[in-house]
Amino acid sequence: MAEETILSVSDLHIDYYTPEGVIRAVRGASLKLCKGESLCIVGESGSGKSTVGLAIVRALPPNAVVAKGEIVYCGIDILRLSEEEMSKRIRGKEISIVFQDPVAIFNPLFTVGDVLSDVISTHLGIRDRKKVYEHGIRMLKLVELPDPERIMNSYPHELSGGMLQRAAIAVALSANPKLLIADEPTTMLDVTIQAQILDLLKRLRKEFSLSMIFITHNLGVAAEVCDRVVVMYAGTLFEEGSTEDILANPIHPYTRKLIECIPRASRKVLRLKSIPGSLPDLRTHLPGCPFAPRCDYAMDICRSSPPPVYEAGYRHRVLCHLYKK
Amino acid sequence: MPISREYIIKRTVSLVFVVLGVIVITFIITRVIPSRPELLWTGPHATIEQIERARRELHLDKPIYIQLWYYLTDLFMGNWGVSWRTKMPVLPSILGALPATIELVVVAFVIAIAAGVPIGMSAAIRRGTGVDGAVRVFSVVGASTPVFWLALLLQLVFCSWLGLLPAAKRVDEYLVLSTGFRPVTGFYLIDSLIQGNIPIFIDVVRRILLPATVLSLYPMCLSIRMTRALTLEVLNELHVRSSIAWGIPRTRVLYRYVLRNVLAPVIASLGLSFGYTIVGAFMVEIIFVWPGIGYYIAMSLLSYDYPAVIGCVIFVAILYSIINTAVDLVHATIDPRVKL
Amino acid sequence: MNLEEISSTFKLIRSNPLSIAGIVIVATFVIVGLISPYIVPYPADAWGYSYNLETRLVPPSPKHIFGTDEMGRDLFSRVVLGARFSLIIAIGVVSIALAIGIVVGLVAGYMGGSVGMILMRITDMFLAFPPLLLAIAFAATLGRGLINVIISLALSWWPWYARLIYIQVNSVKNLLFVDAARIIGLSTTKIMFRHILPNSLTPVVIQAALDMGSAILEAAGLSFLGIGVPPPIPEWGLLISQGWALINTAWWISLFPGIAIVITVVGFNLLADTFQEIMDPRLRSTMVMRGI
Repeated sequence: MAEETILSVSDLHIDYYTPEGVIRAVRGASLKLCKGESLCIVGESGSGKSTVGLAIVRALPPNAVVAKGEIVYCGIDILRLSEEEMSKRIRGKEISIVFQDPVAIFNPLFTVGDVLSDVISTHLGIRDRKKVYEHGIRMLKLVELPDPERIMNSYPHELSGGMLQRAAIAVALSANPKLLIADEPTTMLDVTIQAQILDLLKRLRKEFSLSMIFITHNLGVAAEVCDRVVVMYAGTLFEEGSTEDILANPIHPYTRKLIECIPRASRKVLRLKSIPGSLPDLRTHLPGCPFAPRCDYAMDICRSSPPPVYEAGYRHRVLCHLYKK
Repeated sequence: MPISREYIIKRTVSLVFVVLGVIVITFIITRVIPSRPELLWTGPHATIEQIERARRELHLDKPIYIQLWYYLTDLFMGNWGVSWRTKMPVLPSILGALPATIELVVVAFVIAIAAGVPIGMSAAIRRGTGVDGAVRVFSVVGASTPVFWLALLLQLVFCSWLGLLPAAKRVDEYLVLSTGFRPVTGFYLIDSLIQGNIPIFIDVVRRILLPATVLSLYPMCLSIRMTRALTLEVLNELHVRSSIAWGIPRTRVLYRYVLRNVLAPVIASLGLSFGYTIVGAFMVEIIFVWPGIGYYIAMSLLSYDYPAVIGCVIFVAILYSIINTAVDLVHATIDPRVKL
Repeated sequence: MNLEEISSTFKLIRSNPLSIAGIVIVATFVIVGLISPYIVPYPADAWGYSYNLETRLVPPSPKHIFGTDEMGRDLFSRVVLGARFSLIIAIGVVSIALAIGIVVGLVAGYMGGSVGMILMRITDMFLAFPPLLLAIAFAATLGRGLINVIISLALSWWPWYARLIYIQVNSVKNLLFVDAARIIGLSTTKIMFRHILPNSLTPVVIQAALDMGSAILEAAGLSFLGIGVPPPIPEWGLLISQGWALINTAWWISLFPGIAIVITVVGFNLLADTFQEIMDPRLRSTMVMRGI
């Protein structure tokens, strides 16, 4: 069953230029997404997962630079497009994004309706204000927001985080994109709202046959929402596979540790588990595997050379020295 | 974003207190600090009888709080003293000179914002390039330049040497007579347009151009600096990236969204530069013989005409407070986050 | 500040030509101000006590680089000596205003309550005046004179510092280590000076650097209006106003003192910018750059 690849990221390297030095946030990440799939990028803070997601729509902060690599969407080389072409052809229309902090996404001096209408009229070319407004209301209803007229006229500081995030999803989907990138959309929300937003995303995905890239630090969330999982650490992709494969049969030592750390209601847990140690300094050049200092199975070769790819099964890749090709 | 009535009332009340404070401070400066206040009031060529009369009129033998009471009531009743230079009451003279100064200051501010904000934004967008560097140097040098010095030099170059623009006054009296121009509001630019009097309009524009431009330099440089810094900050904020990420074209994001984020604080900060611009206007008026409050105060200072000087100080201080309050209200209208 | 911070600070300064320019200008200004009486080519001219009909109104030439004024005095000497007076004014105004402002702000901030409120209300009343206007009122009352100019400007400026310090003290006051000091039993004044003050000083230092330049500008303005320093003191603003009447024929008299003012004030502004970069780039919006 050949599935159609719509997005392919190859050997992506992204650097951030900060006063403290150049941070190499993404070091050679590669992944593939097929049509209709939802893929989760899972990793700790600082693993580079958000950076990869932002790079796909070229919404990186001004001090970020794509040093190397390729991003191809439906045959279009994303990184080669001009800004104008990005905005005209890709952003919002084909690929859209939802960000982490719902309050900061919206300009405090404009109402939600202002932004929503602007995006709608930009993409659908509709000038008729009434039609644009009605489309906006429809989108807000779609994300299950009560009283959409009020929301249209509200400023960001007047709405709760959960409502703003729903509105953001409405804006992101208003031009009917094919791929949605969700960058930790629930991290800053209450647990109860989290579940609602996740359900909403799942439902919308089905309704609009969206392909999705879901970025999170929470493996449990990944398990619930996504078909496939990619595990990232310190800018490197360690494991990529279907959710069932990875949860049932985690191969990479880091993935295994992550799964162990998920608190389970069934087991009697005396202590919450965590992985000892911390992220390496991303400003330095790491010759070997970045997880080596914290890995239980680290060998000498792990510290000196980067881990090779190991095909563990159908569309299940691992980067680790433990497994020889 | 309607401003609530309570907010307006709150600000008005605070304004009243501020004005009272201003008056009290001037009272202290003019009556308490000098050892013989009546001498200041009568000027250097007064006779003994005039000095004695001044002592009585100023109620200087009475206790301080009675003096303050008379001071307050005099001010409120419009009795601001008589300028012994012009022999005319101070307050009407100030009010008569006011429109000229306001016209000059308003035009200067319009130039400052119209030039300053775009320049500041372009410098921010092109951060680190030669354009940015040139703009930053310009804004620092411009803000360090004494306005009276620049006025002198530009007047020398443009009026004396190049003969391009007239050097003095607001309007040519000959033209006024020959075209029958009659000022209504006191703002010659508006009046001449209302009356369809084009020759006067052109004349006024030619005469206001140089002084207003010189005056605008300082607020312009402040606007440039503020706009540039603010634009850099705003460009880093998530909502700019999100708007772009959702597909809104970059130019639109800049000129519709970022501009408003930047404009609100810039206008608020202009209230501060307004104080310096008013005093700058004084200097400019002297040099260009512009018949405004600055000219009046400068002439009064030269002749040691104390009542006129203090009258101007009080008037301008009150005006400044009112304008600051107005600017705050405007800012509250633009920025819905201000607590009302 | 440990060694690493100091060396990275130097690197930051060295890499930025504007910072270097600022430091060089200010250093030159201070040095010239201090030694000018000894280096001017025509000392008698500089102080204003000479009168030489033969060399009246000479344009810039090898013997008189800036030309001479209507009394035959060498303008270059006068401008150079003027640096000393500008230095005196700048230091005098800023230090007095700082002294008053810090005390008022510190007391108001730490004491809080009604004492604090009253002090701040008084400060606000002073702040209601457009800045130079209050100085004009003081100067008109006190009369001309170098000391009077310094007093007038200082009295109209201390409220800014008081307010800055007050805001800083208020936010620092509730930090833990202050409570710790209080628990140990340090006296109130000791707490104020040893602990709160050093942390509150950053924006004040930056503002003071800016204000040194602004003091020169405003003093020049007052002198130009005729209520500043009296002749024959070669203060730059006064020199400009003296050259005003003759500007059409002897343009150099007004030109060069003005250039001196611009360069010096630019130096202080750049210096203040450098301080800001070093100490806290986030304070940008609260700083006030004055002018005239």
